[in-house]
Amino acid sequence: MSLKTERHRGLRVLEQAAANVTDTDSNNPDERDIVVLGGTVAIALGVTYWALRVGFDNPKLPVINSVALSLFLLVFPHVARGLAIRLRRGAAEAWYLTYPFLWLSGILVSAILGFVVPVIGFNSFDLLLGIGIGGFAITLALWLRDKGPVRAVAYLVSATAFGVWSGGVVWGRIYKNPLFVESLINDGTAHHDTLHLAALGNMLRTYHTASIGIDGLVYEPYHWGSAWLFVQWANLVNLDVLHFYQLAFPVIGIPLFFGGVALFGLFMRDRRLPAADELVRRSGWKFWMLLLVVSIGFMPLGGLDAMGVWTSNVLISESYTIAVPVALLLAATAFVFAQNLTSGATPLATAPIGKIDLFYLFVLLPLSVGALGYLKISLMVLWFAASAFFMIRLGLFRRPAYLVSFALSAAAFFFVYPRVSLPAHREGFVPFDFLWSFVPPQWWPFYLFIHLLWTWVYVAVRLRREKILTLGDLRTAVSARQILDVELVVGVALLGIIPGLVVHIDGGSAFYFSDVQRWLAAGLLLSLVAARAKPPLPNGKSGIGSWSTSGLLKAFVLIAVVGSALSNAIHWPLEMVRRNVEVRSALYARAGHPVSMARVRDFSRLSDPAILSAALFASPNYRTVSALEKIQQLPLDVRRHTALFIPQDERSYWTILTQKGACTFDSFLAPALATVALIEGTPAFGCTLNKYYGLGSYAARTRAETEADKTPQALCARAEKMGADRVMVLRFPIVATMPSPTEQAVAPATATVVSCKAPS
Amino acid sequence: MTSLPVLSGSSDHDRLTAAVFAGTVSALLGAFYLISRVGFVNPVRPVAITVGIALFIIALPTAAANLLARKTDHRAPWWSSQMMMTIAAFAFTALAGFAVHLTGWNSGSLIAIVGALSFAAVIVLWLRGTSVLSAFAVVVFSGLMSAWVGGVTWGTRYKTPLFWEALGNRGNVHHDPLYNVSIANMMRAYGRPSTGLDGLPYVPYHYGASWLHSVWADLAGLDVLAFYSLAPPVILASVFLAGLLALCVEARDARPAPDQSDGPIEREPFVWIVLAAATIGLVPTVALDALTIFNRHLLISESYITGLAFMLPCAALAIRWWSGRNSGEARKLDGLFLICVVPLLLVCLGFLKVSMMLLGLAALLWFILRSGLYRRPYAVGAAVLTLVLCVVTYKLVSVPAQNQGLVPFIYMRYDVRSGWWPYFLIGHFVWSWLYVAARVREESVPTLSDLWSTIRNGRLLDAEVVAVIAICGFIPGEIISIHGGSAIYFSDVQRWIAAPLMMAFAPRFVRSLSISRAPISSGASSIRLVTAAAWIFAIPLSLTMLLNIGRALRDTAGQNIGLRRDFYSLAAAPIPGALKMRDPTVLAAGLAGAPDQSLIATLRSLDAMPRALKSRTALFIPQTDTSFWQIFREPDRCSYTPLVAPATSGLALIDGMPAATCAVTDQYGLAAYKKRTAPQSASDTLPGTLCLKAKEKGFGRVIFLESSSGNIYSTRPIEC
Repeated sequence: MSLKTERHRGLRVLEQAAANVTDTDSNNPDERDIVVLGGTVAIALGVTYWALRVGFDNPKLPVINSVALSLFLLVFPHVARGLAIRLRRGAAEAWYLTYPFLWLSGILVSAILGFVVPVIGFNSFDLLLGIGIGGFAITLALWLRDKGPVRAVAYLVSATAFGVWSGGVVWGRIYKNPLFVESLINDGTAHHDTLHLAALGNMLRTYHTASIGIDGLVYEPYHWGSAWLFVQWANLVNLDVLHFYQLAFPVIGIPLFFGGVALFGLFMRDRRLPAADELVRRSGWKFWMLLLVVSIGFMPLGGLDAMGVWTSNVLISESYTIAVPVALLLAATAFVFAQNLTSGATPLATAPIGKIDLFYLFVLLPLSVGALGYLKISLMVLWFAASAFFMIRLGLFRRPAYLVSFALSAAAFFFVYPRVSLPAHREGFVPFDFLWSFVPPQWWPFYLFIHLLWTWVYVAVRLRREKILTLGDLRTAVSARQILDVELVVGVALLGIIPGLVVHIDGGSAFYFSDVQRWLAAGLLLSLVAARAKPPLPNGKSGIGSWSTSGLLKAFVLIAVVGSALSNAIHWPLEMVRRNVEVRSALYARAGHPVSMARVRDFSRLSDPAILSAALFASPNYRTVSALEKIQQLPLDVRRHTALFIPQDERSYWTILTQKGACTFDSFLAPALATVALIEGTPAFGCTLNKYYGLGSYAARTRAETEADKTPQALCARAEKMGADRVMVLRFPIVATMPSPTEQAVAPATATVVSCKAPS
Repeated sequence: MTSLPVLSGSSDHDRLTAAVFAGTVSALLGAFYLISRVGFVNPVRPVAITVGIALFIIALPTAAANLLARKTDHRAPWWSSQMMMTIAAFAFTALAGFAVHLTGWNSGSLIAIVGALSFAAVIVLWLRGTSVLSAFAVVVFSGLMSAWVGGVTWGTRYKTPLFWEALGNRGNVHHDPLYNVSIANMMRAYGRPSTGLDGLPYVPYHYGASWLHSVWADLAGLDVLAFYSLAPPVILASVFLAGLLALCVEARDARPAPDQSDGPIEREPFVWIVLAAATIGLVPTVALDALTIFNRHLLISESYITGLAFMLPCAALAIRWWSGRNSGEARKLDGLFLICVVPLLLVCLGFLKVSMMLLGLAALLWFILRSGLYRRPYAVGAAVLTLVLCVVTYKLVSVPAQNQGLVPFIYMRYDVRSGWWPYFLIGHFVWSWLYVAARVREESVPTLSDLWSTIRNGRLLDAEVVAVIAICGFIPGEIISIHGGSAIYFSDVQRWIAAPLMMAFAPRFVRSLSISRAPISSGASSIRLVTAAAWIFAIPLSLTMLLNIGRALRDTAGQNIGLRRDFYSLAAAPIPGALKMRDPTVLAAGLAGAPDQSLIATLRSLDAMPRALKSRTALFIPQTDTSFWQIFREPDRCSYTPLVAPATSGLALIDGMPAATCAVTDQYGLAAYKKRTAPQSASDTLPGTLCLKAKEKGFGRVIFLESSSGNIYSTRPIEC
């Protein structure tokens, strides 16, 4: 079957499904919001990325492919659900036909399709592209019809602005950058986190081993699930892993993250409210405003940072960006599973369980635990704790089926934990480590209140709604299991802050435990936001005089909140452009066109392709980076049997990263750029070996590299340990007849291949 | 005669509570000062008299008003109220200080004794009506407050108990006090407000605070420079605190709770919580600073604290006047109050802090307009008279150089910390907002039309006045660039009106919330979640308050210990633990060896000259004396160097402008002098030339300060 026919059929199915959705399901207008707004964010991110690369080598196809994959992931559950609704014809909604589960399924399907690309040599991405773009276009048309022009424009403009903001967050720091490689070439500025993840992803892609590949393929116990997922998606969109992290991760991950949180809110709302109340079940501006305020922050960034509420970390940690929505979608699926079983007055502990439900309990739930562990260990820990909480609070442990399910989950937990937890992170008891490290002492007394703010807001709103006014009411409500959601949120919050208060987790990663509550609480809070008809005023007044004084006061406070959120929203995009301009102006200076004071507004005049290209060519790391990038163009089966060796005396490689103390991360560069593992590639003798990032799995050098280490025999002995039968020795010779730095920079690197196969 | 309404004894007791609290703060601050100077020359008498002056202003009116109240069932009218007596006591101490020079008789000791006896009487009267627990709580809070006041005031380079010593040790002090003390010394020696850098040109500035300090310093028998570090916390901060509580009590008195639910303030925790929140702060100082709620400015600007200490009794007096003016006798004296008292008090305020006069004027005009008083000819006359006097005063005290032109929203843009500006209007004016919101809620106005009719009925006049002060305080900083961030002295005034009013109504407000949600059952189960949450949230707030105090104390202690360590090092003595660096011999030796001590000691010795001789003497320090002209090591402080001489010697300089190479600022009164255009020549230092200059500027004698090798100074008088 040709690709064209395949795409045509996909579109027909899509149209049919979208039409069905319109007719039969009252939830879909909100679901369309997620597709359209998420898609708009993805497009805005893609365009922003492309705009930030103007003047450099800037093909459109990777951007289009990334956006298309993102659209596919957003559209897939919508379309699949449309079909499912048609199929079920009034039957109760099964957990496996819910939007959250279908979204997870879409992610899994795309990963499988990506996985098979190198195996069978067939890439079905064109089909996904067709479904993604076509489905989005149809959904957009239906959405526009539903919203009306003014609201539609307002929503689309807001979503575009949000996309630019989130682009600013992800590209406004050193971690990811549309000019990541150019910045590296220019002056060796690149964050080691990204290089580490790219190295890990490449080793998974080339050797199917979770390793950083700096001296063979030593397993790195790390939550490498997101790296694996990105490799599969990189296979689909045909991008190298390092560029995937810069481009496709934000374009796909950010809509997934915020879409996941929003969907969780909508989904939980629909299951909380009576089905007949159509008015209440429509998301309004309050819903999206709340999501914006939680994401962007209504306090100044300095104040939020002081409380460890880091708005940017959500998007710069790709594992967290993926794991949070996955966890929320899993939670929504679990909720509907439980709700379906308990339809009527039967408690969950005694409700009849069908075969498909047993499949969920015995297979999917334990797999969820494992999957979360590989995506982000903190999510697995909190998920498992939440499972234990429900087992106890709902008395599920009395029922063998649940007990077995929990035992399987526990087994998954204990199987996965040692495989994803870095031993270097287990540094013993360090009281208040997170506070000492990141919260100024004067703010300590407020830490629990502000860091867990959204949890407390949710608790307050829920208790108010339940009319729980006294401690006695609270005790009664807890006894009656009336506020299990509140108990869950508080439990996740308190459990989440414990790691940071008792142990040292490098790089502030305790945040990834303590921040989970924010998104759980935000999702649940969103589920409480509903557009309600404005009740008439009791006094019968009209006009300005009828405005309430308390409302006026709230509006006044809201102005400050919105002002602060806007101020925060502008910060990151400006930072993103400023960083971009910095790289451009440095390159301009290198090319002999110095810019006196590079400002954001200078962006447009720093985009001459000829100047930028010449400057890159003349940059000190050009030769090293381009040589490494060329290696990744070798066929996969060749790379899979190849190890790379770069002698320690090659200073152009071993001093490439310029940040203070970065020598320990130079080793990442070859696996990250060349996609093959190094041998004898641990950091130089004298450089303090970092114990994190999997580097602790390797022994630090106790002596400088000798000539004996470089002999073919020694190299082959090392290569054989990792299953390679050839070693590529890379050198960057300095040619005496080329005195100028520019000429030195472009002098060709030499690659010598040492074959380790015994002559047959 | 129509009687004023009968009062419960509660407000009289509240006034005693306020006096006990403020008096204890003053006494503790005196002790704090003495402890800070242990090991140095440390006479007790000046400190005791300073505390006595504070007690005289705080306790004597309270005791007198209390005793008068016991003899009558009626509320005292404004002219015999405690607030009027407080203002009179303020004035009396100033006049007594002024009389020291004129009559040669120092009544400082007598004032201190009367103050101490009054305070003792106040304590006795108070203890008779209070419980042990309340007494303990008030004393503990006094301790915390004095620790905070002392810590903040003396933890800076503006004021420190070791100011002279710090000045002698590399000139490590801020130049603001030198400027103020120069003016005070010139008024003291020559009777003219000037900085005395090259003769005595008039320097327009609200120099009332400087004058007040100079006359009080005479009472205490202390030089003005030392007194500038002692009096602001010991006298003015404690009078200010007494004023806050007095305004709170007066506001409660003027509008009693309809259900008579107001208890004594000592048993109203929310009175003290609001007081602590408004002063010490219940959120970290960095957060307050971000919104330019500068608690430090309150205590380091002596003119601001002096103005506030005077303004608060005036505001309380105004409330007493307004609330009691329906009685017949009071009505007769309406005109007297408006035509005589109000203009006089506003002019006094203008000389203490010009911003307060302008805001007071705005409040007065609004009040006359909105209360309907404009229908009375005497009120219109009073308004016109006040306006004219304020304009004249403004001309006298306003520094033209402070107005640096129109710059929209300059204060919000440049003084508010980056990112915090959206919250500026809410945060900076939080007390005004809270008060207005609480009053609007109290008046039950659900809609804007209800609000409008309530305003028209004049039921929110108090809130309107607060709003007018807030709005008028907000405007200058947002349209004019006022040098040195001094717009704060406009925008911050509303806090000190709104906060005491909030102190008055917060307990009622909280009670109204409690009543509207009465518990259904009893026992622990009946505790409302809101109450439980409030208690939980009180933990970080209390901790933060303690941390704010602790940080202030840490800064003060750090500065004091650092200086002592320097002296131990200079004396080449082994440095013991922080609390043991108090050996007088070692400290004296260290001080003697400090780089600028010889110069400073010589200048200080000149201040002891008889006042009659001083009044015709000028000081000359040649530009070749680098020890003096480079006493501030930072080159950008060269403008302020000459201020050291009049501030320490009490004498005006001639030919004392900074070197020609110095980029002289136009602030600090320096615009009143001619800048040097050429370096000082040898002929400029000849006695004949100096005498010529001295005579031109009204002096008959010049003292030539000379230094010889080894940093030894001598003075050579030149009779002209």
